[in-house]
Amino acid sequence: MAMTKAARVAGASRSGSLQRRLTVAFAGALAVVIALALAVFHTAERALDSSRHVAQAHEVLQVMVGVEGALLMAQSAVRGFVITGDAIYLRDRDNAVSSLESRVQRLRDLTADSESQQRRWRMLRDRLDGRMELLDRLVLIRQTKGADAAREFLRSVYPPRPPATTGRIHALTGDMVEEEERRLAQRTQEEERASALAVAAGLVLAVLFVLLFSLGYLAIRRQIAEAVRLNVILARRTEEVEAANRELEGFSYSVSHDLRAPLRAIDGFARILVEDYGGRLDDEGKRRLGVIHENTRRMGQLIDDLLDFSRLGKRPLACSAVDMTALAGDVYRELRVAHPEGEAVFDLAPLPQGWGDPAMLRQVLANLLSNALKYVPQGGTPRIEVSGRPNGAENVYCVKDNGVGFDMAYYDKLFGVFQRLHSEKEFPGTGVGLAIVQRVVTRHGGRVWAESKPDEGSSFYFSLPNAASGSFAAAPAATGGLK
Amino acid sequence: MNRSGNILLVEDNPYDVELTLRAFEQNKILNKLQVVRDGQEALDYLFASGAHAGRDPKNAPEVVLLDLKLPKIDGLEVLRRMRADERTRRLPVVVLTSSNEEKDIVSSYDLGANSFVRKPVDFTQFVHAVNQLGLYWLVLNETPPGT
Repeated sequence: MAMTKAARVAGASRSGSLQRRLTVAFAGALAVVIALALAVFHTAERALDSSRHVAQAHEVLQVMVGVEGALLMAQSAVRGFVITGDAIYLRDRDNAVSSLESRVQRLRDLTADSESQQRRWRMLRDRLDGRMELLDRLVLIRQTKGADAAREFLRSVYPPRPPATTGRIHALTGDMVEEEERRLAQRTQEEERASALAVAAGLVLAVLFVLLFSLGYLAIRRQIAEAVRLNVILARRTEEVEAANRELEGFSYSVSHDLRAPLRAIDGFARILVEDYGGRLDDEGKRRLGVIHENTRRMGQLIDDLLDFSRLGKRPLACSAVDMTALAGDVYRELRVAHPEGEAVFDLAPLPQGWGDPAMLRQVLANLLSNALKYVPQGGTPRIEVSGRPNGAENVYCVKDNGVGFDMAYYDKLFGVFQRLHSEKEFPGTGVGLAIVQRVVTRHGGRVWAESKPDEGSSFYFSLPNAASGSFAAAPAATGGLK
Repeated sequence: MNRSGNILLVEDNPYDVELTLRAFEQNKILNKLQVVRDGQEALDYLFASGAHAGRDPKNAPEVVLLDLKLPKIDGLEVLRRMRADERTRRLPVVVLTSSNEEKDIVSSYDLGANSFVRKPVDFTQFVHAVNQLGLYWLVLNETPPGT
């Protein structure tokens, strides 16, 4: 019914590799998304940088115009003073000069990132300084020597043709403007490129994200569908197993009920035959009816043992701490009450505490001790030693007898159901006792083994996991039933 | 309701019936053994209906020996209907069956059986069991008054 072990293992490793692959795929996708996001951030940063440069270039141009304007204002103010001698023109000049100075300073800051612009700026500053000095001298002459001397000085400095310094300053500012315009054009182009790149990277990122999202969604949906499918299969399997168990239960019920009724009739009517017609039967006839009686009795015992054995697998374990010493003593006394005939020696050492189902452990000890009492040579006195010791995570218990023992060559038959190493005539029994011992101990997570030599007694061992060992794992109840 | 001194045996297996009769005989139990073969007939007898419509229902058996596995209506259902009816609510019922399934034992007592006896395969033991039953339910046991 259930999946085979190999299939389960294969299924587990298949789902394991699928999970691994899924993890790797998602980690890869995540790395790509992060890298792309960084790229987009970087290009966006660059685009922002470029646009800052563009704005700066625009400001340079603006300031340049301001510088020229301030210079013109300073010159015209001084000209006015020379002509009129009115001090009001000097205030205008001072304003123009301070405005000029602040603009020149601003210009230096704005062009700090370009070596060639800085060189031009230094030349511009020197020329402007020269021009200012000239204007100062002009003002001084007008103040000390009068308007005519000033005009004379002016004429000597500025011949009738256009003044060379003004032209040179103009040429310089023109150069700077030109350079700045070139840089502006270049930066604008850079800005456009960076923006385009940022937009493209963003687009790729978005597309990739959508793609990954869809793939993830599909993968998850497939996983869910698979899980649902497996659940359906599991539910169906569970139902099948339950049906099989019900069938098995019905079967054992039938065995218990229907097989016993005919046996009762056989035994009953054989007995009636003896009672009613005994006088007409000779000894052989009575012996044969005795055979019928003996065999029905034996069959009844077989049926009961088989049912006991089958029930052992079905009943859930009700575990608790068990005083194994007291239990062994109890079981022995009960057995002696049931079979008081003959002498027997019972040597019970203190046993480690057990952990398990008390009723089932009682069955284990009852079977082992009754075997020890039963398998004694004709006329011998049974001597039974029960001992136990802790052994790592488990406790080992031993029932040793001085009985007929068995040949280890047949060891593999020892714990089988209805397997017997002795004839029914020698030692009566159905061969279910040790099978029960093995099933109970195995269900408790322990082991059973034995050592023996013919005519030298046997030692039967069983182990039970400690309550503390945590390795206590009972086999599921449903795995019981008939072999 | 009068005690008839009868015993009602609900049993479908004719050989079991024969063996039971013989066991009663051997144990000198002289009470009349009324035999019905299935659950329906058992209810008809107890409630004087169907094939037993003419019977005086006041003439109740002393004890009912009830098999569980029966044709038509099974033993547990017979027990349930008996306990649900005022006329047979307190009538002693001994479940006498081949099974010793824990489930059957528990269900029988849950439904109000007074006793649960497993029929032994061995005839000697069977005779012994019937003897004990007869002694207990027909001699020792005091039935509740007014039923």
